[in-house]
Amino acid sequence: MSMIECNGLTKYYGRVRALNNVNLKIEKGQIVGLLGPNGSGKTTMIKLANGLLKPNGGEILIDGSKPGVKTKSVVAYLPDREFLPDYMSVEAIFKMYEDFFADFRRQKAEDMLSSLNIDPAMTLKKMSKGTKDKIQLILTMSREAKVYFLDEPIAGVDPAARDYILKTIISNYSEDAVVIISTHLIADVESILDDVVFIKDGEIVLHENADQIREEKGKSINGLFREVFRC
Amino acid sequence: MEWNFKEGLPIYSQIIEEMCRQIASGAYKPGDKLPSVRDMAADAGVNPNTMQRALAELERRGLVFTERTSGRFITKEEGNLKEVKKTLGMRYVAELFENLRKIGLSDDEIIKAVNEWKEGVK
Amino acid sequence: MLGRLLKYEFKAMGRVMLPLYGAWLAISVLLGFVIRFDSGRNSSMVGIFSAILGILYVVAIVAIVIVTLVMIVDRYSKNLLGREGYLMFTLPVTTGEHIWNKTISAALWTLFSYVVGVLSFILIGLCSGSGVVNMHDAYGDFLGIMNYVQDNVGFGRAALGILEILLLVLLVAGVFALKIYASISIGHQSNNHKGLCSVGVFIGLSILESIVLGFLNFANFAYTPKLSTNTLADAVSSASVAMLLIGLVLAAVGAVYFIISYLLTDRKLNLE
Repeated sequence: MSMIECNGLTKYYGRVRALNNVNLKIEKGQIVGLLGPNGSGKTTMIKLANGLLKPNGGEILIDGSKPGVKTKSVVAYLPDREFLPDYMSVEAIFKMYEDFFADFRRQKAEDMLSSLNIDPAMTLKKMSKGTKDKIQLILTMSREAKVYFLDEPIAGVDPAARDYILKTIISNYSEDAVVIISTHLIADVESILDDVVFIKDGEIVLHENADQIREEKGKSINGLFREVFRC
Repeated sequence: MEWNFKEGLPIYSQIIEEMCRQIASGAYKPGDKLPSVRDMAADAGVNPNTMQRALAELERRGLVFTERTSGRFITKEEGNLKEVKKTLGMRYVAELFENLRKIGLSDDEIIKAVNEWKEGVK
Repeated sequence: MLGRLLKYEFKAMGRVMLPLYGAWLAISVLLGFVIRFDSGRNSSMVGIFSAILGILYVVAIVAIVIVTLVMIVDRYSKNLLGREGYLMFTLPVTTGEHIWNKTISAALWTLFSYVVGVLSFILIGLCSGSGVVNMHDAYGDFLGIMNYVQDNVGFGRAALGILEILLLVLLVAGVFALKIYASISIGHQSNNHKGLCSVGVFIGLSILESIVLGFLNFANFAYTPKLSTNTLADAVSSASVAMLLIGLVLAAVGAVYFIISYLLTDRKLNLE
């Protein structure tokens, strides 16, 4: 059974079709890139996987189940926006994650926090955007989840932080889990991907192993992307 | 270690290349213990499966071996080490010939140029 | 999981409400003392002071009412349907649990506000009382009431009656909150002016409520047997029956609002 499975997945926003009959299977033990321009349907697919949207047609399954309480306890989602209550301190948020997620590894989170020199007693309100982003990343990566959805994890991030994020993703790798990285910044991320999925106007146009693409097409993923998505 | 990957070539084969170079040049000494796959992957900024694939190939070539409880090590087999130096060396020679042929030198002229260069360096 | 949601919901509302309650009670105490000093002297300074405090007291009441209402709205529209929704709806919690969480919390904090209001009156009374004599009188009155209740109704029944009233207050507050949530959920469906839509829906629902309850009143008048109020015990029993009927109707209305919020939030969620 695939870890993530889309069967005929379709989603409309009013009259606009965001996803069109998507069929996709992703096995565990992979870091997969969900690559496409803005508005191609990446975030829609991720929201559907998290139960934040309901499909208009078809289905999406996480470890064999439709999105619900069961899948939410094994899926870790890092959205591309701030989602934490501003007035809480880092400590308080760690406690909250501990309370709700059985797979949250508090010690790991605290280790990452101290390696980044962030004070756990500080409230989010007082932090810079970059630091808040790091907190959100720490929360997500400290969960021992079966599926990780990282939506634009390195957009708007300085190069040093970017390296830290990519290294964290690699070090977190598990044979039993899947990491989906959704981004349009391909060059920075492609070396850590197993497979890549190109999505265009709500349809999957490519799903292949990254090294295989490099071997067969003699291009980087970034190069192929620019070709496929030429305006 | 500084890893620089070229575009358009599979990463796993570039890792193999680089490891061979490191072994041949002695940066990795015979019997050296390698870090875990995950650590090597993180250091190189690559996918762990890719790193694993490269290491498996190196193991197949006899340059690296795994001791089940202790980890991965660079081989101490003289034969294998010599082999990798030879293979790498021959490839660099081939590259030299290829490049110089491209600018119009004949094979004899190439050997002459090499000797000239060797004299000049003294 | 509902218990854990409630814990965090309480913390979130408490950090705003508790300081306000504290301020309100402090103003009550001050007002009480100033009244005590004022009655007797004719100092204009104290007079002005008591006037200011009187105004502050009224301001405090208005503030608490407004803030309680605003918090109830915000905890739903901002925490669930705003950007924090990306956190809330990825917690392993059902939609029903989320709505129950907000409703229970809203009802309880509304009750707390009333209780604090009563407390503030008591505090003003206590602080402005002129000493032992009044306390003695008050205690005497209190004993008298207790004896009367004991003789005519029984403490158990009286306590039950008070409990019934509290439950009804909670139910009214809860259904009111649910009406707000239903309005917000419906308003959330529109693309522009979500807030305005919600207000419109709220007004619409309130009108509908009046019409339906108007019909029910009419029916009630015509069909239910007259309730006896001859003795205090009878009156208490009749009141219980009346409250039960009202409670059932309210619960039905609340259920409708709950279903609206649940269906929209579970199936038509669209966070931005």
